Amino acid sequence: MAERLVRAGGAEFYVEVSNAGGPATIRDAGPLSFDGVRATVAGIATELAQAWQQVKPSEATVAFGLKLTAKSGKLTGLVVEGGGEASLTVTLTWKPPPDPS
Amino acid sequence: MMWRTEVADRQLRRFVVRIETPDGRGTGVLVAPGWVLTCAHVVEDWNVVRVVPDRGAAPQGAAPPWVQARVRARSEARDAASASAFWPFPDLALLELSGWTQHVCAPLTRDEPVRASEPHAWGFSRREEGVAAVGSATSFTYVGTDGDGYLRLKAGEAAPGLSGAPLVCPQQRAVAGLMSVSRDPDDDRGGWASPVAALTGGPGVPEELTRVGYQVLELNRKSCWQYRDAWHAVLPIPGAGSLVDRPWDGAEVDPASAQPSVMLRAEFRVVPYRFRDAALTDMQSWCDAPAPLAVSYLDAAGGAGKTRFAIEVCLAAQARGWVAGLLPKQDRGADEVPLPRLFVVDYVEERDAAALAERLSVLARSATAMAPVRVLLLSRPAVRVVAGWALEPLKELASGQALTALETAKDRSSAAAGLADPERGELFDEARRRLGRTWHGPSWTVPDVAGVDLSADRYARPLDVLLEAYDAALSGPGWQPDGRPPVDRALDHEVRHWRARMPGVDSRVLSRCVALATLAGARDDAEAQALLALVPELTAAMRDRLDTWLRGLYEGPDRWNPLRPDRLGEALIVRTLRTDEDGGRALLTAVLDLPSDAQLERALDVLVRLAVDTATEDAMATVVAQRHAALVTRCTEQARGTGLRPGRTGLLDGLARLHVKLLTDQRVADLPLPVQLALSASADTLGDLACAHGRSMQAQVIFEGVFAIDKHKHDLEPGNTTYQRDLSISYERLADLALAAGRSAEAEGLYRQALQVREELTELEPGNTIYRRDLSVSYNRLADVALAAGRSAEAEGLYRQALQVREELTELEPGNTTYRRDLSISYERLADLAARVGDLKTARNLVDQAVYLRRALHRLEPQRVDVAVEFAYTLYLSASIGTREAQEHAGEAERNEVRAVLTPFEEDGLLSARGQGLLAWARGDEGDH
Repeated sequence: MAERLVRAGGAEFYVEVSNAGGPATIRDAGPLSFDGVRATVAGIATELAQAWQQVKPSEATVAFGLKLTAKSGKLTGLVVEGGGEASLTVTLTWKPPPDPS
Repeated sequence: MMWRTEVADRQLRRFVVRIETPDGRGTGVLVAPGWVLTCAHVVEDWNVVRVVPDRGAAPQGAAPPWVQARVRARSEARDAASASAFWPFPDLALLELSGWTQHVCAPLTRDEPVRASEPHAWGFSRREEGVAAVGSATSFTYVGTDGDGYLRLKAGEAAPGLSGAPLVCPQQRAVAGLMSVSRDPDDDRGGWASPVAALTGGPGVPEELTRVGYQVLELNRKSCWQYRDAWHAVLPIPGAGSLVDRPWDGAEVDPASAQPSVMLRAEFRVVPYRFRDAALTDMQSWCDAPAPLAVSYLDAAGGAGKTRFAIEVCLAAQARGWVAGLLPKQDRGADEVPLPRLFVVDYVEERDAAALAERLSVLARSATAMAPVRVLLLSRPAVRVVAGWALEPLKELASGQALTALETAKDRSSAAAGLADPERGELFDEARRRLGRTWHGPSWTVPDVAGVDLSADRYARPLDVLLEAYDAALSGPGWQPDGRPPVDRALDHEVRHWRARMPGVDSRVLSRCVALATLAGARDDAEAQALLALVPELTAAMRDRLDTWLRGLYEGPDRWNPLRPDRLGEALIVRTLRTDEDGGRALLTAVLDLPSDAQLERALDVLVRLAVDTATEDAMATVVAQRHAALVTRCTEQARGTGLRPGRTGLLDGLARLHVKLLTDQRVADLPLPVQLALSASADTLGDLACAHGRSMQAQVIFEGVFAIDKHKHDLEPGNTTYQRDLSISYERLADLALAAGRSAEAEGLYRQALQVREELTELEPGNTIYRRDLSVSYNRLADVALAAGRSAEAEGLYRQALQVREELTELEPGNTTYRRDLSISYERLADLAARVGDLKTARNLVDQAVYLRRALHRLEPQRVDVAVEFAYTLYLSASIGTREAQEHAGEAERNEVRAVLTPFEEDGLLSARGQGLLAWARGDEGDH
């Protein structure tokens, strides 16, 4: 694990990232962008929302953990089981929209 | 010897720049005026970036804090969807700086790093998260080249920010690539670099990058030599200074143990060097020029400041990272070190010209614009020759770049120009103060004495001013010059200190011992004892005491080292010779008879330097003339060498120079006639030896001297036929030299004079076969000259006259091999002439006769290589005529016979270059022929 400086919006903060390993170009791109993590969460949520739209359960809840990695110089989330390894635990709750009638 | 190269990061950073874009940072390297090389991914798709150079990037003044740069060419951009972290090969970009070209440039190499070497990089890799990079170094081990062309490295940290950092190969002393990819930014397992070679194109390299790449590589080649001193500071080679002698390193005068004369030695630099700033600046410009090899020479009298000038030039070069110093007599591998080198050769006239010319050739081969070689030759002027004369023997022997450098050598005589009056006074005051404080201590005050008169011509030489100041400083407040030359007074101080260290020994004995040590030197006990034997009436105990004293007296490489500066040592020798009742004749004779060749070589060299002192020259000339035959024998033996020792020309060089300088026509004419006659014979041998070893300038003067003796003999006894014949031989020798030097008209005139004498002799004694043979030689020589001048009819007439004489002689003495050899030469010359004009029938007839004679001669003496080679040449001539005759299988028989004749000599390693050429022809190796 290594610490990396991350910029999200106007804020900069350190996150612990797992060692992703592998070759990487070695330009110093400054603080990592949080956009990759946001995109990861948004991507998962969008996919799940589409599934729930189809099956329309009365309610659905999904929880998953995200481990942060900096593979190829980009910060991104790695989906892991919730628990100690995850840097972020995300819980998504879906409820069917109220019937307009 | 393998030299270890280090990398100095503080120097390397001068060549490295930081590259900033709005969203990232990387590294680049200055490669040509106004150009930076970096990785394409460092600049991504930005067109304008900011370049931050090191403060030391500008050779003069400070570099700007930052410069804008435009991306002129780059590799293709990475496809965002690509699974690979690598950018498309070669991941390089060329940036043009806006308005800044006065900066250092790192040399680039298109070669990959040496396998398993440790290339080194310096760049702006991040050391701490969130903190700006300050620049850091890293080393790798080079593994090899990947399939796409990236250079694979292991065992080194490649952290973010290092992209674009120059990868320096210490062995190639150049940038071979740019760091571009890490195996893992969080550890030190190495990475990959983009090779410089990719700038010349290849699969995947954009055309524009190739076009600009070639342009920048060419600019790099043309400009990086200008910053070679800065670049070599990046890659120091510890111990390279040991390639040269630098007696000035650590030289310090210790009055408690040293003789005062050491203060006068150039290497101790007791007195500041003055008045030669322009000459020193010229030398720096000369060093800084792009020429890989250049030679300068300084030809000036002893005491004019040659050595001190050379030391100052070396120190200036040394301060800039050059290997600079005196070229050692034994090679230490100076050609193996890829650094700028400055070599000083003192007393070049005393060096073995062949060995020095060979060293120059070897150095020339190692010299490049990045690692140039400069050679400064110091010599004393010789009589009857022009400045730069000492280069002539080298020119005769050198070739290629070395010869070009010698022919364009720069005269540095301004560095030894005479001092003007005000300069003499300034130097005297400064020197007296420095010398006095060095010897008496820093609190010594300059005595208040009347002004010294330095108007005499001798004070134009800096050493004479120093000697005067030395006398003043050591004499105390009551100093009064007594009218003797300052060198004599300086010697008195030296003698006083000898006596203080050797109480109870007669100062004349001490002086004689030091004079002998200075004249002949002693490298070991045998040589020391040989010199002590020349000091009369010494007991064994006294010999031991003197030997011990002399061993510690002066620093140097030998057992006994000379009194220096050389002017002081030479003055001591002259004083010693003059003190002897016979003017030093017996002592000189004994020195010239010393059994050690090394001592004799040194003595000859020193005597050459002394041969300008009129008081001793006559005694020296008499002794040298009397010992001439013995000396020539020793020269011949040394030059020939033995099975255990290769031939050397040290004695030949020394004796030839001494002969030329000392045995002038006037002085020889004053010698008794029997001495002249003997001298004429031995000088002939010496001249031949000089000719055979490429010393044609000296041979010319020696033969001119022989001619003068022969002419004098002839004038004394015009009817003496032996003298007449000697005179004709002298004419012929001078003619041979003139012809070899390209002065064919002069040569023809001299050959004609030889012919005239020989015709007279033959007329006087028609039955004398020696005279008749001489006559035939004259005809042949003149025929050769006529043929070379295109007068073939005249040449044929003369060849036929020679043939007629030779046929008669052979008929008289059919068993005489000399006559038969002469006859075959005549047949060959005429055959060649006939073939040239197309008369092939006559040519065939003549060459067949020559082959018959040569074959018979070879069978008589089959072990003689010279006879075999001559026979082979005649066969070659026969074959070439056969070719013109359009014979079937022309030359086949001749080639077979040449192979049979010469191969045994080749196997024994006895074949000359000419013989090897003929054998190559016989084997059909036409390219070698």
